[in-house]
Amino acid sequence: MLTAQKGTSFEWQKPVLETLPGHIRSIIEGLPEPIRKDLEEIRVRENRPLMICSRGRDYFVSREGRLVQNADDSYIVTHDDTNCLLQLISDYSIYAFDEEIRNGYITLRGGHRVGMAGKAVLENGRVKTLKYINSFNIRISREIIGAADKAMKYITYDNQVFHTLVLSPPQMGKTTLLRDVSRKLSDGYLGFRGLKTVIVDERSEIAGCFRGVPQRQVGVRTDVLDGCPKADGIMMAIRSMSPRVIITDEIGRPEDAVAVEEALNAGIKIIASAHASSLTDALTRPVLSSLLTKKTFERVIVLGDSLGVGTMEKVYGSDLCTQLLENPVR
Amino acid sequence: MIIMYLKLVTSSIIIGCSTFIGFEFAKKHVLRTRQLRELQGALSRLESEILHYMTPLPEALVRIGTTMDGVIGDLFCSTGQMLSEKRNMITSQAWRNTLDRLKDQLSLNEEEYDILYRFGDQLGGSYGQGQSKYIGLTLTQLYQQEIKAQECRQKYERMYKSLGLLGGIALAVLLL
Repeated sequence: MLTAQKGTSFEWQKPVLETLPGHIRSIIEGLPEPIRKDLEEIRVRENRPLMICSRGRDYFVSREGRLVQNADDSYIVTHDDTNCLLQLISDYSIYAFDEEIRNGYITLRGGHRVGMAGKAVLENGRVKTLKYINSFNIRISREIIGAADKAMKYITYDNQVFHTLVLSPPQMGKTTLLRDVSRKLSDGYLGFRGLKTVIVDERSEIAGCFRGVPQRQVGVRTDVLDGCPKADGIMMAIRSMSPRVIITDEIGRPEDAVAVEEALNAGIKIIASAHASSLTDALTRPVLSSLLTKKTFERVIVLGDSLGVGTMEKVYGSDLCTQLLENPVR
Repeated sequence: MIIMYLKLVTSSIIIGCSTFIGFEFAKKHVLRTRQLRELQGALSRLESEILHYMTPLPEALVRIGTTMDGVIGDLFCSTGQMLSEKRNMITSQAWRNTLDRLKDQLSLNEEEYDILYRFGDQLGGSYGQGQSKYIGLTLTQLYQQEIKAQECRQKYERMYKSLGLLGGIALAVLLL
């Protein structure tokens, strides 16, 4: 699936680079082109070496933008760097990102996400905010148009959609698949008329919204409830947006199951994902197993990496026994 | 006869000049009070932009700056623009730089600059409620300074004006 058309490899540069402090910006700009092309993460940790992840492994980076083996030769991030970075990613307005900081990440223009770590400030036993933020993980997101091409025939029939659950371990292309499924269902394609779709994007990962506007291709008939808790979002969508399909990620809490069932009763199709490496794995989790044993989902797709990230390993029917896929496809 | 005229002209020039100097000194006090008051107005608006509208700081500063005349408007506008353009400067630096650049147009004293520098150091930095508290604190300090400035103004404005005029006359009498 991942071999399909990719966006320009350097598209990420502008929105990401403009949030980096001067030093680090020029270092990243000076990276060798192949590394920059496949850059996955930039790790900024105060008083520690600047690191990047590209092509599945991590590297130290020197002051001149060379990749080095030894941590001693690498650029050491200063307090001024992290301070400046925090101001730049929040557009000098940390006060406007209370909620995001509480959740530990800020989404940049272009859908790239910056995860943050520091000292948690508690209030009544819950995290109120973070202070002394000093570690940043800038994750460069790339959308893969066409990632869902091979999955569509298992999800749809006669211009209808099956209730589908996507199971996958982390980093196996779950969100990428959901995003492209949304685009295809919403835009429509040969033999399939587009349907009204709502994405309930609790963690701003599917649509990568910046100030509420999707930065990813999620389809023309798609509305996005950005940063909205899944259970509330599903109910809001049912009441107000008259969707035919609701797409959401990582269901797992009891209230999510209630909301999913509510949507099913309203005649709305649900496409959701969950963390699990296999069906047996999913059946050990209380909420998932209750949804699965009630045969709520008509299709269960399991992702893995036997043929590379994003491989469809198995597709089950609603009885959870029928295998619709003979061999893994990618 | 000609010497008489010459004396008359020179003495009026001297008196004119010293009166002007006196008025200039007095103006500093008038401006100081006005600028302190304008600053308080701008900060109150900034507080509501931050607390109620969550406007990003550069946008909020420019928006407030453009609706105000004079040097205070300029201070807000320039800081906002600097932040939105030069993406490599932290807020306190931008605020400090603009403040230093506009110093010759501002009529504030050292104590007031200190208040403003301190304000700039935490601008945009903390969370909504924290920002509001800092702005509140700065507003109180500026208000106290304004009261002091008004007392000074009452005391010195008249004095400088009359001192200028009388000093001029005395100088003219002495010289000619």
